[in-house]
Amino acid sequence: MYPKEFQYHRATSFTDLFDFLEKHEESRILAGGQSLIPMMKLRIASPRFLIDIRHMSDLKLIKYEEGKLKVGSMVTHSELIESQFVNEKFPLLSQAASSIGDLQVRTLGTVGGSICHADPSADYLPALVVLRAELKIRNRKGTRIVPVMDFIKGALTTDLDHSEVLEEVLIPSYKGRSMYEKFSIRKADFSIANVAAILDTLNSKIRDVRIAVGSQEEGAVELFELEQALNDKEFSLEALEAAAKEAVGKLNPLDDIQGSPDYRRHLIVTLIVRMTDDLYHSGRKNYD
Amino acid sequence: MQEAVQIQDTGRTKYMGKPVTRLEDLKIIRGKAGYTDDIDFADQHHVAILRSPYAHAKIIHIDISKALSLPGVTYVLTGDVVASLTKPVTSRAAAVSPTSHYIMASKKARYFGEPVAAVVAVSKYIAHDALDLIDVDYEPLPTLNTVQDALKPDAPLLYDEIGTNLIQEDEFIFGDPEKAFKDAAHVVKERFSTGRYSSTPLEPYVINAKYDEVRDELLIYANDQQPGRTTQSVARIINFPVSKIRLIVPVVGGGFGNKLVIWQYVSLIGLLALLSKKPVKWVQTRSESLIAPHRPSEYLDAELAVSSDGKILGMRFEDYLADGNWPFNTALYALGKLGVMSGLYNIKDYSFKYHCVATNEPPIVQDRGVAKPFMTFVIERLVNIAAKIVRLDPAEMRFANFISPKQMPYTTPTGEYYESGNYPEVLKTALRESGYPEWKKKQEALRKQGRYIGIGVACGLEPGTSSLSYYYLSKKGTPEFNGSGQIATVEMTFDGTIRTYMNGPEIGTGHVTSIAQVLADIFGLKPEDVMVDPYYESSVGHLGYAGTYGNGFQDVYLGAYVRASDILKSKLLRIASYQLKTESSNLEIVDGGVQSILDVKKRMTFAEIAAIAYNKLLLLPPGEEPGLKVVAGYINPTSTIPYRSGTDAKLRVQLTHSNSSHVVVVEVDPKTGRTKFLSYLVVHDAGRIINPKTSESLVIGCVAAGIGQALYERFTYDENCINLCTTFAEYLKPTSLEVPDIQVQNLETPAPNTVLGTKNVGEGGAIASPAAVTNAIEDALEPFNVKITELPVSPRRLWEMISKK
Amino acid sequence: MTEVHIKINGTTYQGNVEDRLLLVHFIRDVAWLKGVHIGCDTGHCGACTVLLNGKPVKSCQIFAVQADGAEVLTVEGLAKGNETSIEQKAFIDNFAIQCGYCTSGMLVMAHYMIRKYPQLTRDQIRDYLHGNYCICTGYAQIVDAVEDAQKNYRKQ
Repeated sequence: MYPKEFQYHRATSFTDLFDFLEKHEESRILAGGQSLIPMMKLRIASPRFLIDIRHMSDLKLIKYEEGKLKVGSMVTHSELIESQFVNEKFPLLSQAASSIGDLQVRTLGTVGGSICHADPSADYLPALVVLRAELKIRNRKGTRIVPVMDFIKGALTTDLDHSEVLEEVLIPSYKGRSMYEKFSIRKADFSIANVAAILDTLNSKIRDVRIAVGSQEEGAVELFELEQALNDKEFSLEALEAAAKEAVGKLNPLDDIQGSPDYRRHLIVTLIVRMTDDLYHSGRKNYD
Repeated sequence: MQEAVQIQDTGRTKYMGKPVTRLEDLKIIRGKAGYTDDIDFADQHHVAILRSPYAHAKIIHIDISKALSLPGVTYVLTGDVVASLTKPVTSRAAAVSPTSHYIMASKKARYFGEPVAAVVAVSKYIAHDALDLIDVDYEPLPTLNTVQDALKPDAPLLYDEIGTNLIQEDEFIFGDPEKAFKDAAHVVKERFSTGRYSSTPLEPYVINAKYDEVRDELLIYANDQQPGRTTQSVARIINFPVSKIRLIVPVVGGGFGNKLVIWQYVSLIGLLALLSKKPVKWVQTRSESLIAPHRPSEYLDAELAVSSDGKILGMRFEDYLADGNWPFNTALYALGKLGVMSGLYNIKDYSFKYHCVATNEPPIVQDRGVAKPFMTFVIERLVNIAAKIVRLDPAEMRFANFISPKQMPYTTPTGEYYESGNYPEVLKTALRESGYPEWKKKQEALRKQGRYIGIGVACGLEPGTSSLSYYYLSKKGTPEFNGSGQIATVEMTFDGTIRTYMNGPEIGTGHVTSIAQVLADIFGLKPEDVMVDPYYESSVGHLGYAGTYGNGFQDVYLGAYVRASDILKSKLLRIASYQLKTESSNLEIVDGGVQSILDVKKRMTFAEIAAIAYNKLLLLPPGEEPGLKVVAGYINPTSTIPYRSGTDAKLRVQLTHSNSSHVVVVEVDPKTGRTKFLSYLVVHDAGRIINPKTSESLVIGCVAAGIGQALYERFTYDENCINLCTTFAEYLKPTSLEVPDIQVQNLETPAPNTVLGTKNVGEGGAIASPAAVTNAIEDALEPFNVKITELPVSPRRLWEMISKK
Repeated sequence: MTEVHIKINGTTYQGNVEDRLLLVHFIRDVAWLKGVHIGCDTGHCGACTVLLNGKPVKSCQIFAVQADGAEVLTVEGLAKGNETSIEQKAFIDNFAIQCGYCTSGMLVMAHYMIRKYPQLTRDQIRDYLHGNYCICTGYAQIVDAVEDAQKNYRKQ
């Protein structure tokens, strides 16, 4: 499979990048390319101009400032996984990154690329939602901050304007235990159901639980009602199951050859129940 | 045959039967394997193929002008031109063939992805650009997605000239099934089905062709699995003399049967080389390979008559196959079942009816084991279901029905001749080695904790050396081709080196090493000193249906090498005998020379003998011909001409019969439908083994393929018969995480009817594994009363079955 | 067209190439190193795996222009002269090869894995290799080979 012709440019600075985007209407930003390049080879996407930002050192930093983790958009999944700091303080993020593709894809694929591609079954989305992540977006004039929930506008659509670039992902510190689980037929496959959860306990009562579900028509969705039903209560498997079923019943899971909405809803409930049970009673555990 | 047996008996098997390091690997690990795409001609041009976006559509008009004007494009071919220059593709098995089916669609496209035009350009990128510039006017037609669609009385016709979509049907009755069912205490009745799948060799089709004006020949490189037939088929299709086609098959990156129909593309690319007057290469994309061809989808209504003590009395099968649109392989998956219909069991009374239907699904192709994995799935599932009814352990049920070693050789009602085998011993070993009784106990204990593990047993016959005789059940006349024999070329070169050539392509199954092992033992050499050219060349001796398929290598292909080597060896001994003035019977071959067993100083090196045979001709014994090149052939002595009378037939489809028993332990999560393997063991009896490590590796690889068929692989079509699985994101192959460690044990029951006592090893793991895996899953889910009758069984499908109960 | 310089196995190859030329085609058709194979076109099968600046990538998922100035290691760069590398020897010894089409990618992965993570368990090896399809072997002997190579690497 062979992509159509295009002109390539390697961005040297933000100014260079914004100049290029302004000059070429039919241009696209090339990050790690692990989604865009296959689409170009299948000729589903055929941009006439590509600007490569993978080498921009400003976008490759992992920092911790003002109580927030700041991940440059061109940090690769592998770099994120290998960061000891992230692993210790934001294990949810490492877990989501480890679930992406395979070793080779994670070498090139970037955090920013994945977010901006906005595949509804992407691994980062539910994790970023429960982490209440914000995105720092830059254009020629300056920057703006958007919560990740508002950034994703649906399958493969985002709030990003053609003149803008995602610069950083900002993630506030969190308390409690966290877990990301994905059910896919094979490990590298798109998830049929994926759930991220954070949960704390105080005096054997659930506190600050946050649960977000991916692979939905609209991307990832946080289940506020379910959280409310669980918060400040003791753990009860029956109540959890009932509340999870109720909340998940209202979701719009994707419908494709990998999984029907019914099957996906059932899987989501199963994941939520098992994860909540686990987070409440211990720590991280893998079900596969 | 006697000579070879003598080699075995005198203990001179220094290399045969040993885990000799594969000679192929030394090149592969350096990236120098030498696949078809690694070879380029000067002025190499590239081909891209435009394919129909509809599964059924009239082609009203094709405009190629824009494509032709793209710089770099040198030629564009359309279906109408193909139809005017070539002959249609016909069927091998069906009595009728369409007259409107060409190697490229003309007037009408009949499957999603059928070629409608082809471009020749200076680069592969430009060739693909040009495809976007070809305008085709289609008029979509209603599609025939299933057997039922195609058989509706008012269904549109795929081929008007045939007048029906029912291409071929037939009925066979063996013994007295009526009586068997009358006598039965229980009758098991089920419909079994499978989706379309394909083994998808990692190397796609690659063909590179050019017309050589100096030698006046069409030179073709292609990764073809059956090149012996290809040259003849290409000659017929494109009206070009077979004597002027030189086909070279470089090392092939996996075959699994899927490269047996590449000849239709070889015809197309060959034609493009002639028309464009350029060397043209086509490298199939993965999407093209996933579009077509596949194994067909089918369903089979099965009945099993069982006595109250678990004896199988009879069977009735009625098979419906959606053979897609391509006439060439129609009926293959129905007729192929006849060779293994009664499996390893002593069953005399059964009947088989089949219906092969044309649909708008893509062409079908042979895939590892062809009809045998599904037939075995049906039988082995039936046995398990019956065992439950008569309250026997599934293993006990099998012991009660096996053909006993005392009955060997055993002729089945279909005429299949099982030359040897000890089925009870194989299963007994498998049960013992897998810890079957312990797992059963564990299962009970775990169930109480809400964990569901299951133990699956399945046994399978693995026939080898396809005589191809089933094609003659529907076509009249004696066979015009047959797979029961092969020839081989073995020579000694000027310097005394033993050199030989492939009589079938090297597709990854270690044939180069196996040949070297056998020849090393015959000529007293080390395997690495035997020169085996890994490329197949049509100019070197081979028979009409030569190829690496049908599990024939260990029997007739290797047998031909032994035959040719024996003749060459006798000649070496005669020349030495004359020179050394020693009786031939007192000479032996040792370390690259011939010497007297009485006096080791009386010795001639191979180089000295070669010098006489090629140069010093006057030193040859009187009457001896010069030269040391031998082409010799071999036919398996048990092959027969197929016989057909009414509903009876004796066809002896395959000539050797390996067998295996699989014991699988799985755990199923009923909440998600996910299956996890806890243990997988195969006991395999493939007669004498040439290379135990290669053989083990093939069995494991086959099991992995069977796991794919059982759990993951299926081409899904939408309501317009469009394939939704055209990349590896949708067509799911098992990876290193899905295939468990697999234990293999070998038993060796030599074949009395092959030169070396060998049987066959290339398909076995794949034949019984879908049955074994599904038996295990069903056993795990016994409390949920799940019955598996369909392949593959995905987590979603399992969950649906569990949640319905 | 862009002028590209890529150092492959220690030798710099230069080409004036179309921007859309994939790295795998640069390696195969410009540098003429045919050990890198294409098995799927969409980044799933791993037959085209090479190390790019020391890290494994699928060379059919990156354009040659993106790799301008980079260092690439392919299967041809594993052996030192006639001496086979640890992982090459392990693949031969463990009968981890059938048709060989996936082997180049598998070997490059093995080369990377045993150096980067010399203490992998069998399950971890399987986890790191799941982006490399093998249709022939059923993987067991490949996992054996990586385990074996790892052992021998540690002994060094």
